This record gives sequence, C-alpha cells and structure tokens, in this order.
Amino acid sequence: MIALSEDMKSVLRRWNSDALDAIGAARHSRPNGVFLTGTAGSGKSELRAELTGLTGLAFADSVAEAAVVVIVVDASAPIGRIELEQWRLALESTPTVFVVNKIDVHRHWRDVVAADSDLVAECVPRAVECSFHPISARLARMGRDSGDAVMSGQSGLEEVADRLGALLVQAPTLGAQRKYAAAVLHSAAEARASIVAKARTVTGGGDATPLRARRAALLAERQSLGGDRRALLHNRIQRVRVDSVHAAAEDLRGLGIEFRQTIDTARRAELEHLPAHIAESARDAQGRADAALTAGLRAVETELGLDNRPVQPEATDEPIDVVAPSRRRGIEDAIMIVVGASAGVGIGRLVLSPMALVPAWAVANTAITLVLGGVLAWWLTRSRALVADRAHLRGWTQECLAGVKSAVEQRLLSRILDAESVLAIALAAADREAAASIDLALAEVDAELRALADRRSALLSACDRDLSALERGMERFRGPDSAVVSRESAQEM
Amino acid sequence: MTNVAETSLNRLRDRTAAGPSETDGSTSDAAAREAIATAVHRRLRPLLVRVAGRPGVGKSAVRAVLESADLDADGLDVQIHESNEADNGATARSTESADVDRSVGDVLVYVFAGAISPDDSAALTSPSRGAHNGTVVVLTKADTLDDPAAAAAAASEQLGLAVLPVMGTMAAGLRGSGSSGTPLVMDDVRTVAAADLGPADLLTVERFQAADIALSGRRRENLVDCIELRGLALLVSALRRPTPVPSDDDLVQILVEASGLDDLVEAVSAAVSTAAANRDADLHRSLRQIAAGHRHVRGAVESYLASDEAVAAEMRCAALHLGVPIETGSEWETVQQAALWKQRAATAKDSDVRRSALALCRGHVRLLGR
Repeated sequence: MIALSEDMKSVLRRWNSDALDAIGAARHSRPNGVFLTGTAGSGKSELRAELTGLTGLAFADSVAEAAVVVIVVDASAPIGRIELEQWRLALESTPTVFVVNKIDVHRHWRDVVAADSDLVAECVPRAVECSFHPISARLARMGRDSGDAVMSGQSGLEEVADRLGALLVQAPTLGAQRKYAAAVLHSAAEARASIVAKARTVTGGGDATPLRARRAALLAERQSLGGDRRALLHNRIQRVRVDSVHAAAEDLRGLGIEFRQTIDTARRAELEHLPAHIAESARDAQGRADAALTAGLRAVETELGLDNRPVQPEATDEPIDVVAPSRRRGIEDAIMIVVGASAGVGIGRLVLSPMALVPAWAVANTAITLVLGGVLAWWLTRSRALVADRAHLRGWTQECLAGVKSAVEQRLLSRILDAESVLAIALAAADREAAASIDLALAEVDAELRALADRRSALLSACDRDLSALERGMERFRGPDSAVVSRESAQEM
Repeated sequence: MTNVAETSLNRLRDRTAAGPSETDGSTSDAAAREAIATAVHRRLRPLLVRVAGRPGVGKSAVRAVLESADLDADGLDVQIHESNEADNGATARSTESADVDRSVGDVLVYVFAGAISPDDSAALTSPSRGAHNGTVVVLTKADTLDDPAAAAAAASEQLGLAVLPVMGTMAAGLRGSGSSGTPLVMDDVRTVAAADLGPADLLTVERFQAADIALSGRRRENLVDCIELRGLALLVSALRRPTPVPSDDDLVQILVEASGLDDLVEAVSAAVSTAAANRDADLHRSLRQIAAGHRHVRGAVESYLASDEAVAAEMRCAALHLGVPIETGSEWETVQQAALWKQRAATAKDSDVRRSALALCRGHVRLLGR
C-alpha cells in the first residue's frame, strides 16, 4: 500500500482531525462478509434469507467491515440522486453488487436497470467495482419451495451468489487496499472542502465588517464634532438670558407692590425703618437672581457635557447701595404750622363760642381756646407731615427699585457674557480632546484592519500551501494501478 | 353554464373596451381596459394539471388516464403536462425543457412507485409545491404490491398527505389509452381462464408467454399490456369461480374497482374544480381592485359582478371556502338557506367567514328570483 506523505499527513491532521484515524483503521482493516442495504420495501430481508440459504454467506454489520456491499433496489422505478448519494461512500470504497429486485412483477425492469446503471456511472465516477443484477427473490423462494429449477434459474439469484463468491475471494488481497485508498480520497476530499470553505469565509471578509462599521462611525462622529454643540451653547445661553432677566424683573415688580402697600398702611415710626428694609429686600432679590442664573448656567454646562469644570464665574458679592432718603423741611412745613395753628385756634373758638355767653367763664374760655387751638394745630401738622412723608417715600421706593432693577440686569447680563465666553472656550477644549481621542481610536481600528488583512493573506497562502500539498499527495493515489476501477454489467440475463 | 359565464365575461370585456372613454382616450382608461382584459384572459386560460414524479415511475399511464377522463373544470380547457420533478434538482437540463418542467400548474398530481424515496419527499416538500391549488399523491404500479392499501396508508402516514393506490397501466388499459392502445379483448381472457394453467404460470410475463394456452403470443402480449398480469389473474380467478358466470361488464367492473381508477379521477376532478373556483375568486378580486382605481370602468365591472353568473361563481367559491355543499330545493328551503346564511354572517367573527356567508345568502336570494 502506498504510504501517505508527511506533509499530506500534517495537512490532514490540521483540517480533519479524525481523518488519520479513519485512514489507519481502513489500512489495517480485514474486510470480510457482505453488507446488505437498499431502499425501503425493496425486499432486503427476503433476499438475505435466500442468500443465506443458498450460499451460507457471512454478513457484516457496516460498510467499513464488509468485503462486499449488496445494494437492493426496487424494479418499480429507477433510483433518484438523493438516494444514490447515501451509498456513495460504499460504492467508492468497496466492491458493490447492485441488485434490482422484483423483476417478476415489473415488466419494464430492463429500463430500470439501465437507468440505474447510467445514474451510478454519472454520479459516482469513482466507484470501485459495481455490477448490476436483476433478480426476483420471490421467484427464488417459490422455486426453492416447489423444487422448480427453471424458476430458480429465472430468479437470477445464482448469478448474484456467484458474483459475491468471486468478489469475496479477492477481498483478502484487495479489500484493505481499496478501503485504504477510498478512505484517503474521502479524507482528502473532506479536508479540501474545509480548506476551500475556510478560504471562502476569509476572502468574504466577514470578520472585518464590524471593524469597518466602527471606522465609518468614528469618521462620522469626527465630522459632526463641534458644530452641534456650539449651536446648542448659543441657543441655551440665549434662553438663560431671557429667563433670568424676566425672572428678576418679575421679582422686583412684586417687591414694588409689596412696598407700596406697606407704605400706605405704615405708621410714622415704621416709615423710618422702611428704607433699611427696602435695601435689605433689594439685596435679597439680587441674591435670588444670581442664584437662578447660577443654576441656569449649571444646567447648560450639564447639557453640553462640560461637567466637573468650574467655569462658572462666581458672583462677586458687591451689595447694591441703596441711598437712604434725604428730606429737607422747607417753607411748606412752616406754612403748615401757621395754618394749623390758626385753624386750631379758629376751631377752638368755634367750639367754645356758647361758653362766651357766660361772662364769668371769660378767662377760662380764653385759656381753653388757646390750649385747644394748640392741640389741633399740632395734630394737623403731624398728620400733614405723615402724608408728605409717605408720598416722598413712595417716590423714593420707585426710584430705588428702578435703580436696583437696572443694576441687577446689568449684573446678570455681564455674568452671562462672561459665562458664554468661558463655556465656548471650554467647549472648544473638549472638542479638541474628543477629536484627539477619536483620532486615536481611528488609528487603532486602522491598525487592526491592517493586521486582519495581513492575517488573511497569511491564512490564504497557508490554505494554498495545504491545497497544493494535498494535490501532490493525492497524485500518488490516482495512479493507474492503485485502485481497480472497473465496471461490469451483468444485465444481459 | 360556462359558456354563459364566458359570454358574460366577453360582454364585460366589450363593454369596457367600447365605454365612454373613447372620446377622451386617456392613458389610465387604456390601462384599466388592459388590466380587465388580462384578468379575463387569466380566468379563461386553460387549467394546467402537472403530473410529476421521478423518471420511469409511471407518469405517462396516469397522464393517459387523466386525459381520457372528463374532468370537471367548470368548462375550462384542462391541459395535462408531465414533468420529472424529482430528478431535475441536481442537473441542469436544456433550458427549454427545464422551463416546461418548472412551469407551475394549477393542480399537481405527484406519482411515485414502491416506497417513498428521499427524492420524492424532497420534491413534495419543495417550496414550488405551495404554488399549486391542489395536490394529489398517487402510488402507482399498485398491481405489483401485495397489499396496495397498506402500502398507500404507510406512505400517507410518512408524507402527511392522502395517497391513492392506483394500478396505472390497468387503468389506462381499461380506458383504451394504454401503451399499446389496444382495447381489452374479453374473449382472450376467457380463453386464458379456460386453459389449464398452473399457479406459477401467471407469475412472470415470460412464464405466461411460455404457458400452454390456445392464444397467439401477440394476443397474450396485448392482454398483458392492457391489464397486466395482476388484472389477468383477477379475471381468471373470477371466471373460475363455480357460479355464476360473470358478464363482460362484471369483469370490467372488477378491474375498475381494483385499479383505483374512479378514486383517482374523482380526486383530480375535485382538485381541478377547486382550482377553477379559485380562478373565479381571483378574477372578482382583481376586477374589484381595477374598478376601485378606475372610475370609467366601474359601471361595467359592477354590472358584471351583479350578474347571475358572477353571483353564482361567488357562491361556489364561498361554499368551497366554508366546505359546505350548496343546497337547492323548493322555494321555501331556499328562503330558509338564505335566512340561515344571513344569520351566520351577522354572528361571524372572522371577516372571511362573514364574506363567504354573505355570498351564500346573496346566491340563495338570487336563486329565488329566478
């Protein structure tokens, strides 16, 4: 037997791990006996019984152990390709006797035998030795039962038995060699198929697909970098500006209303403390506006993904100076005192005029008139002064709040401007960093792709090498005398 | 009935062709007319029955039987083609024959002999089979089996389809369309029965030819061609029974029963008539679609769909869809049926069932009006 070359062995070991075992088993096999197989319902068991009765053959349990394979098919119709495919291994490794059974009931069995033989010749060109025998197991049984020698002769079973005998005689010398050659050819074909399949998947480039997709995604990300976030920054800053200015104005308007109500109902003592309270409230309002702006800017930072960056300019805590109201009493106050005194005296006299009729009370009358006039004058003066103070304070409050509002707005806007520029700078820095990291990732992906291409070409050349090693090894087995490939047809019955 | 249907279809075609669109002659009208002409053409084209199976399995005999049978195709022409289904998978044939092989028919008659081979299973489970309206699976050469019914039952279980055992050659021979084309000569059968035959003489053709019978070799050959040895054996045993002597008709009846001829014709006929009814359903569906898209032909299409023939066709399709027979009888029974179907339509959950029930109700009402 021709030994396998070393490089072919290594190729087989690489691509088809069981191949060497199978080849070794075939090499050392001692094929013996007949393996009987065939289509369903073709009369296998009947034929087996008849053959056993006729020749006392030994039967094998598998194709691998058998010296001869008997394939029983029905004469009703030719076999199909799918059916034939299951016997390919047997046909290529072992001498085969194709038995077309039931020729007694099928008149057109000659056509069926011819069609079957053509199909085997077409589909299994490497069949070892294959002969076709039309038989009728039923005729054989009936001939045996009735002792009708003619009928037994017509059954065609004797030719099968003779053929089996002849094949079994040459089995010890040729059987193992044929099985060995078939196993080598089969393993080589399988290895070749897996090499080709591997090469096909490698050239298909399926493994590079995710890398390419990642590369495209990275490129797209790099191109869209910056533009989106800059537009977002502009948009958000504008919104924060509108929101915070509006909120501050609303806050101060509410304060104004509250102060007016307080002034209208305040007493003199309360009016004195009011300016301080107003200044306090204005500072609070400013604080609230600052806090709201800070929160808004933080939200923008978060949205832009610029977290953990103290880009926020802290609110410089310079208080708003609220100038206390200054009031100078002028001629009006003097007039008010005089008018109040005269009015008080007039009213006093009017009240006490009935007492003038009593002369005895003239002195008391005068004294009471003066006292009453004085008291009334004092009260009028005070009341008029309170009204004047309230009017003054109201005016002052309005001016003060307007001043506070403009100060707060100016402060907010300047903070927003600062924040915008700081954020824009931070954004640009972040973009630069992101672009750098994308470039890095791209470089990695490119490197991986290059490595993959290298590996692929290495793999392909390895496949090529293995294929040519297989071809070289196979040439020995395709020699003219390595396998007996002949075909006989015993259909001229 | 079909001629009436054909006439009314032709009328529909003429009406749409000579419609009011002659004056403006816009392209959409032309398209609608063409679509209607195509739909009508598709309805009236011959029904295709495809007899498929592995080569050498006995398709020709089945085809001959079907060609000689009168298949109820609602008046449509029935064309029967033969194709090698199982064997064409691997090899590419010449393009022309491959085209014929793969052309999809309305009904598939799949023929196999002996046991189911992997090729048969592959052919019967291939996706192209789904394109057929009906499939009839035939176990032919049943005369060569000891128990054809059991073999058919086993195959039926394996395939999950009903399998009909048929003695193809015998059936074709009885129809006078066998391979030799000669009819069965009963006198020859009686001669064979009268001869002194041993039990083994009818085992093989060679033995029968060699047997001692007062009949020429040619006539013996004709007998075998016509009814096979199995048929001959059946007739001989019938003739040899002591009493009474069966007539020729009795003998033919024995063969017809044994051959499974009637079952085959009945099954294929049912499949063909289902296919024809489905054609009607397809036609009406496409006509409705065309009418919905083209205003000018709507009148013609609707008057066709309201015609007696169209309503009757809808009724047939609905009965097939629901699997019920159409019961006609006295006027009172028809009224009852109409009311019954109307009620079923009102209570039906499934829209297909409701549509079918309404079609049946409408058909019964139309029957009343006649």
